[in-house]
Amino acid sequence: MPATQINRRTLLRGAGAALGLPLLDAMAKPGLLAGSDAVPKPIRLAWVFFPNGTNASRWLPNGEGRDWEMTSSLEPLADLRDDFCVMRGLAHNNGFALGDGPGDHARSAAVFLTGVHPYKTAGSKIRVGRSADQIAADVYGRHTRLPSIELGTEPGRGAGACDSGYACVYSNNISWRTESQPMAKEVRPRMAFERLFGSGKELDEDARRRLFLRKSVLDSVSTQASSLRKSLGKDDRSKLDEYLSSVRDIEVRIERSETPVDFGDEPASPPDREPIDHGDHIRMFYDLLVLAFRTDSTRIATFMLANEGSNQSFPMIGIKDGHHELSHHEDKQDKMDKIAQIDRYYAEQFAYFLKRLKETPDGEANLLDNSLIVYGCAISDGNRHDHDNLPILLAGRGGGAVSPGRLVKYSNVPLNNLFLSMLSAVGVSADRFGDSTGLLDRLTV
Amino acid sequence: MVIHDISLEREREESFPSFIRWRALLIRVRSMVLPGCTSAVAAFLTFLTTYGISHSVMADDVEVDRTSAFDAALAEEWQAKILPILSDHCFDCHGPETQEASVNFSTFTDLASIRSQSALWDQVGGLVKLGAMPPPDTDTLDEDTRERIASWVENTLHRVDCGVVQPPGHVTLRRLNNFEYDNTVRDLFGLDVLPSKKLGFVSDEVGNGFDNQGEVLSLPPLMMEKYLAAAEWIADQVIVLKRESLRRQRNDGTPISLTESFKTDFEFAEGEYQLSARLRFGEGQSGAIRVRLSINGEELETFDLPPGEDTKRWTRSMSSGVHSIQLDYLADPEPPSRGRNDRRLFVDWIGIEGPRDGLPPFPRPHRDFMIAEPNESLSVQDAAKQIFSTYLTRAYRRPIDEADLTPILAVVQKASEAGWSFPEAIRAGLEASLSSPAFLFRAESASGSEVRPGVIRLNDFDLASRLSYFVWSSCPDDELYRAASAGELQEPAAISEQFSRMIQSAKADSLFHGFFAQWLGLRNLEAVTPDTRTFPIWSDRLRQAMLKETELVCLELLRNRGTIGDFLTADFTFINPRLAELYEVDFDGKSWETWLIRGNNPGRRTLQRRFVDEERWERTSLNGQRRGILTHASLLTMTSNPTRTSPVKRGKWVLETLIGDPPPPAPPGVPALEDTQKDHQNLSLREQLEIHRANPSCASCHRVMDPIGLGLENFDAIGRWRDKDQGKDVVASGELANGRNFSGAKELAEALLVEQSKMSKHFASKLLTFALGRGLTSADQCVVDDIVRFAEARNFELLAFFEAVVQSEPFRYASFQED
Repeated sequence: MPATQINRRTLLRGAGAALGLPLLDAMAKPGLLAGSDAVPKPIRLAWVFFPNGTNASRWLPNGEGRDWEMTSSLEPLADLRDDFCVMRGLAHNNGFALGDGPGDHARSAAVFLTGVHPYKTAGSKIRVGRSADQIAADVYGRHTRLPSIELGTEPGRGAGACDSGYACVYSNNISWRTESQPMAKEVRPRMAFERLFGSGKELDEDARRRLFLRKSVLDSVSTQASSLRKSLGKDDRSKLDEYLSSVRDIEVRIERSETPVDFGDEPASPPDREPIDHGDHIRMFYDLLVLAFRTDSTRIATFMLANEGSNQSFPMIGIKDGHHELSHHEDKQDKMDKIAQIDRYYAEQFAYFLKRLKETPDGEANLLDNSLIVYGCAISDGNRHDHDNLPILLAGRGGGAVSPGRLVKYSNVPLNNLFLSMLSAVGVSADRFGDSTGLLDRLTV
Repeated sequence: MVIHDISLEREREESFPSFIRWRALLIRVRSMVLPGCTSAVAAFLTFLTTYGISHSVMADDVEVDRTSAFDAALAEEWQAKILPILSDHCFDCHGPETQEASVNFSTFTDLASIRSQSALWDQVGGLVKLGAMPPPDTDTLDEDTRERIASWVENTLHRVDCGVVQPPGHVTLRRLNNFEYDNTVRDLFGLDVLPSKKLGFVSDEVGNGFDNQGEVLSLPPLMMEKYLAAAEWIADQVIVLKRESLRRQRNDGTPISLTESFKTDFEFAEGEYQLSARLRFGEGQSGAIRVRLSINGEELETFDLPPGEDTKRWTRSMSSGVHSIQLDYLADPEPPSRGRNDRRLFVDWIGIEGPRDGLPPFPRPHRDFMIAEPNESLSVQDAAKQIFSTYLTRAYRRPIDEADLTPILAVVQKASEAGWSFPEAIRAGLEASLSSPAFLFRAESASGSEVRPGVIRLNDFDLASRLSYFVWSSCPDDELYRAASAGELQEPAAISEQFSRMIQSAKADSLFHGFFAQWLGLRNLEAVTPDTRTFPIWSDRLRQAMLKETELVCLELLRNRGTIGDFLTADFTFINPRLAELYEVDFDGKSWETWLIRGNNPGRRTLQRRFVDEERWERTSLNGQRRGILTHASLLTMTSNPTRTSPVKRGKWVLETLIGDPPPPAPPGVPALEDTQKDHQNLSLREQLEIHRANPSCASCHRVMDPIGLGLENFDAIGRWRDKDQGKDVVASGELANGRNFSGAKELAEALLVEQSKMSKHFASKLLTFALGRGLTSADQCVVDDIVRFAEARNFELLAFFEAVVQSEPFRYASFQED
């Protein structure tokens, strides 16, 4: 299996006391805005994942360079066509069966940000690879309250294997902290808000007391975990290391959160309602991401619009069948039409996100210009379950790292090459990860 | 007992195949058990003899020799039987000349080469067993031969020599899952508050079919944050900072519909109290509804409540203790027929104020926890020490030492030094303990006694936890902890006694959610959405009632000597008025219609059907075609599509879940049933399936799955009885793949009973997986066999499976890991 160059497990192998943040000498690389004298703004990274592939014939645009034709599924993004690139011909070859039989859904979520072929198991020896966002978070996440945030709209499924002998954990997560530990995602908007910003208010006396208490609790449990660790065998220790590193993460976060978030002119408060429907749920999280990026509370985000294999129905656009069932459309026109409608619905929400980012000033530019946002998944056609020619958009300029507005054609190039370039754009220099073969060319003109 | 040892050793010296002799041995040993023991204990002693003693006897055995004897037998069978069969029947397509699907059997020369391609050989075994290979239209193998090949493949790939001592296995450090966490908090503090829901815990990952598998349960930072927040919240619930703040209390209410009730508990001191309730309903409407307020079931007042909002108050003198206040929505002059929600009674809150004289009492969780208070002769540290010495043994489920106490007391001290009050400082300590790995993880100590190299017998406390988390999904109670402290759990008979006590406790109801519902796949019922246009009576309440029926039947079978076969053929079930309607049977001797609240209009969609005594359940005998759980609405609905039944899904479910013999996945390139349907729209589903099966590549699996599903066709997609489907008479007869004929679901269930031993094996595997919290290894297959054999001697009673699991070696022993 291709190894990750920055291996967190190695770093965790020391005892609890030795736990520290990875001491890599990568520095945050500020956005390079031409002609700007102001303090450069950081680049934000986000990966937005949708499940079940697409109706590729209505999604994938044709053309090249600036000359490409908008498709009906992406039409909601028409106003923004100069703000993103269509990346054609990128592939996740590790999403294919490679002798492991059925299970393309599980594999596609697992491979999406890792580029690693997941080990087929219903429970024992879960293993895939570290994900791009977590590799970034180790280094680039040090600058913010929260190194990264993981969001989703569906909690994990609570029964059985999710896809042909693959444990559900593969379908429910795209972010992997280590090759065996997923980063669980928050699905409740209010709780995600509190995680990012606390209550959103200035720390009062009560909050300070709680912070003091939280710190001493963390001190106490670190001591306990370290002494427990000594009595454990190898597998057990790795479970306890998850605990210890989580505790350590929270300690760091608490230190960073002592300065209250500066919301600027637009104060924010936690969402006080439950989402009305799936689209509302998605938009609430997009709003939250805009807020998180605007306040520089985190620079790295992953968002699963739904879990892979999701059978969500879309009554708000008149679709009562489940998404996954429809995606096995067998080339039947009515089902393919409905898939295209769902694809378009998701694109509408994404357009909302990009517009919000674009209208949010960030230094001399706007948030979208200072972001790199991947929108896509690792199944191209939901019926055929193929993992090449993936539907991928790359939005934003990354402070100059990308020239948007184009369709860029590649030929079976690992999607991980794009991620490697994104890591490089924020100063995280990994030689390779997953199945990457190098930086992706032609990101700028 | 010495006699047993000798006979065992003698039996053991002869090696593979040993399983037939094992059975004879078991029966012989049983007959020798001391007279005077109760039968259950005697059975355990027998079982233990088979395990514990035999293993200590075998400890010095040379494993390699045994294993090679096992392999030698397999290799011999390969040369003498299997290879010749393959050569005669399979080489034409999968041999040296032709390699259909790139399979060439002639390249396999020894066991190692076969084991190195286990996925392929698993498929070979499965397809041959089903009769899918060789293709039925070209060649056939008789059933014995097919079975022989399948079992040889199974033995080669997945079996080890059970005559050899096998390691008990290692369970990865297990985090409490969300269900266990909630139950543990409930039992530790007497607070049934579901923290996992309150704080929105991340849902537990599922592995091996269960959500309690150590290897799969991870602890990402998000979850750790939830744990910290939960600890803070629970500490706030348990410890009251200012007693005076208890003088006025309010509990949040909920909206209730006609015939429903809302009940809440408060702790009172003796004295005069004012009770109040904030009520709202039907603003702008007319017609007062009738509401009753009672205390501990005794009516205080029945009153008419006009539309609008009102805070009702009563003054009453109370005795000390916990009393419940209940509001019943008795009557509404308006008929509730229009599916309206606007006649609901909103109980915003119920409150108490008092006592008028004296101090309000601390709630029980607080009193139980705060067993010491600092005073002139007791320092803060000493008081804290008293509190935590007692509490931590329960929270950590084992005796504690200084190393456990010190970090907790340090938190208390730090808080005290910062000027916090004693209860606040104790809260801080409590929070630290609830965030501690000793609480959140079930760490098993290596301090048990080493019985052979690398293997320990679990110490009493670890075993107590295994028992309690298996049976209750919660921590040990005082009695179990006492037995562990007294060292009793090293005795199999004591384990058996504790188990029998525990299984009868109401806490063992958790086995439905924890074990049965996951085994049956019933948690998926939550995700099923029958089309309400086709099925207007479908509602979430109906779904919950369906689940409850299966829960009650499973628990009844478990506790009252039900057998594995009863899952198929039990002649009773439990119903409430809502299910009585679905099943069209009487409830409590009266037609279901008498329980339906007047004014309902069955013709309308989304109507809110209400029943009197919805919460009442009664046991009833089954007549007609319903038998066992196969005809439970829960399972029939779960295995249907939104608008129609799916005989294929139902058949697959029976094979996969109940019998444990799943059909292999559909081969690539197979046309879907829908194509057949499109071309033959006028045919019944049964006829469409027949056409689909005419394709040989579909036939082999469907031949096995479909007859089962078709036998259940008299039940529609939400489990109601039907004689006709789309105007055509339902034909629910058929022939199982094993040649048995049946007509209707009842005969189907009886015909499936011949699979009882497969069912038992599958059930035992699932139960052991759940009990251990890990996936099973090849070595565990020997244990599964032993469990089944033990259960068989007890007529396949469910309890026997459970008892055998708690006495099994992997449950009581552990392999410990080197670095």
